[in-house]
Amino acid sequence: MNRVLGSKRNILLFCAPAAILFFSLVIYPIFHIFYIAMQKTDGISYSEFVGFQNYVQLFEEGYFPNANWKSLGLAIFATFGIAILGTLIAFLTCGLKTRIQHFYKTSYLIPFVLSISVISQLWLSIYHTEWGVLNKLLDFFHLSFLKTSWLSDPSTAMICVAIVGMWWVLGMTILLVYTGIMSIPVSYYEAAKIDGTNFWQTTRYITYPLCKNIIKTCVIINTIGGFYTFPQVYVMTKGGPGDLTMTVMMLIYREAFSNARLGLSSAMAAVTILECIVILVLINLIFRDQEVEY
Amino acid sequence: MKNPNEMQNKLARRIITFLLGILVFTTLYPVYWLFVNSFRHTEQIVTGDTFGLPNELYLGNYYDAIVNRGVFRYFTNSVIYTLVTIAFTVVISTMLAYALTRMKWKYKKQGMSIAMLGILLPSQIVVIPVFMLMRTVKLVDNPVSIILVVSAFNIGISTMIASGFLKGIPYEMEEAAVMDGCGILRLFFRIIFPLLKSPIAAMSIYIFLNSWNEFIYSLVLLSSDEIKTLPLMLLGYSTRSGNNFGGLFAAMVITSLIPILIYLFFSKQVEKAISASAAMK
Repeated sequence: MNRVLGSKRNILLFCAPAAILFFSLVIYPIFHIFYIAMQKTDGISYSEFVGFQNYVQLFEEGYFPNANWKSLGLAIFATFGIAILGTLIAFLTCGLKTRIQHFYKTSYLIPFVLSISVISQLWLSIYHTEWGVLNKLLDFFHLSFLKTSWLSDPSTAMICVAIVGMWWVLGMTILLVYTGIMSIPVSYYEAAKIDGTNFWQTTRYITYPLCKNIIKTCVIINTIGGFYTFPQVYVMTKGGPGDLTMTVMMLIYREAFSNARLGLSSAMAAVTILECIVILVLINLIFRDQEVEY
Repeated sequence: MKNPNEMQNKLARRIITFLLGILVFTTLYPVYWLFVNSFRHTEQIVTGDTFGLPNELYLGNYYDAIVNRGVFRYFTNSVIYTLVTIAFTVVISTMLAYALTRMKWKYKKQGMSIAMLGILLPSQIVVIPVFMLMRTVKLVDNPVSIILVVSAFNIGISTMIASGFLKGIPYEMEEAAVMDGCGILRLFFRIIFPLLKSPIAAMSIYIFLNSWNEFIYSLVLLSSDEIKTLPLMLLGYSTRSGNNFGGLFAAMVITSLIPILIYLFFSKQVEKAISASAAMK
């Protein structure tokens, strides 16, 4: 037995393919970012070691701080508008009749299986000034004065981008929390029912404490996901009008692949990685008091 | 089964049912609108009544997408890349999972933690170094690159899913196989691999969604038109075909058809795959 399962050659044979791929395309690139960030390079013909100059330039040029605030705004929107709202919806969905519950739960997830490319194009049409369904809807309700060209109006562009991301992943969040609730033993609810508790009380004292871990996961996924919003912006606005919807990922893409400033954009990526670590630590602090037992 | 956590107050339950119903409506309506518009003439999309059903089943959009724009080629590309990615990832990550759970060596725990690390990392952040690496090995504008990248980012999750299942298999089977003089490769592929049907189904679905819908790496790594995938084909569709929005809608439906069908037929498995993957984080 040990001859086969303990042989160094066999272990190497089984680990090598996945490990090589994983290290060269996931682990090594993370560290490589910090190295490229110290160079002035277009990635092909020349590269020059400049130390921390890219980081200085980053904050002098002003694009990055602007994009960074936009992305942090999207991250906060995702925390509340997707993670927390999704949790509430999942809680409420559990109080409905079983058949309605199943239908609702299945419907919520449909956007998540679509390609984000399709979703962005679809919402581009929904927001379309002349024939988009949103403006037609306003006409229908005699609210035509609210009509606007949603994605080029500075006061609505950002929230419109945020809503597309919300439409995409809200269902996934609801599903995660819902699955978490379903894994709570039914006996808890039956016991609570004998004690005469109502839905709001069981939600507050049984469902919520036992779902805290999964809620934390949802907050992490959505906050980080919102921070790195990219395809919606790329397809719908390209960062415009002006730089109003420019997120960090869009800026990194633009600097690296349109302006060929790979060093500078790597420095941006490096800063965002550090920011994400701070965000993760914060979320962990907020959800610190863990482990409920019944 | 009766739901023990049902809201007792009828009025409250009806109000909540109604409010969540509005949410379901806003979720489903854009998808419905997408399908309906793919059967409308562009002129009708732009000027006609948006809410009703189309007055005829106009198939010209599909003709435009398939014949004029050659959507079929992108469709084939997407199918091939996705299938290869799934097969490749499943094999290498079940092997890794086997080594990390069943084989006898010192650094198993550390190996597992590193794989976990990969799940937490948002993949788009390393787009620059990955692009530079692909250029160094001359794989830019080659489908192999996108297959490798998507595989690499799904190894972590797939390994977790597989190893959770592998832990529960009794050692007797392997013992018997080794007694009979079975080598490691035959032991794994003949005896262990067939046992992994349900975790493989879960990870295949997960990898399918990631690969079929992959956007940023395809955008950066695939530049020739012949090797592009469906999500990339949608970019600039309407401007290229002279504001033919109808064709765009048809192309979007073609892009979404397989994921939606898979979800409708295997909704339980899809839900399981998505929640299992998140539970690992």
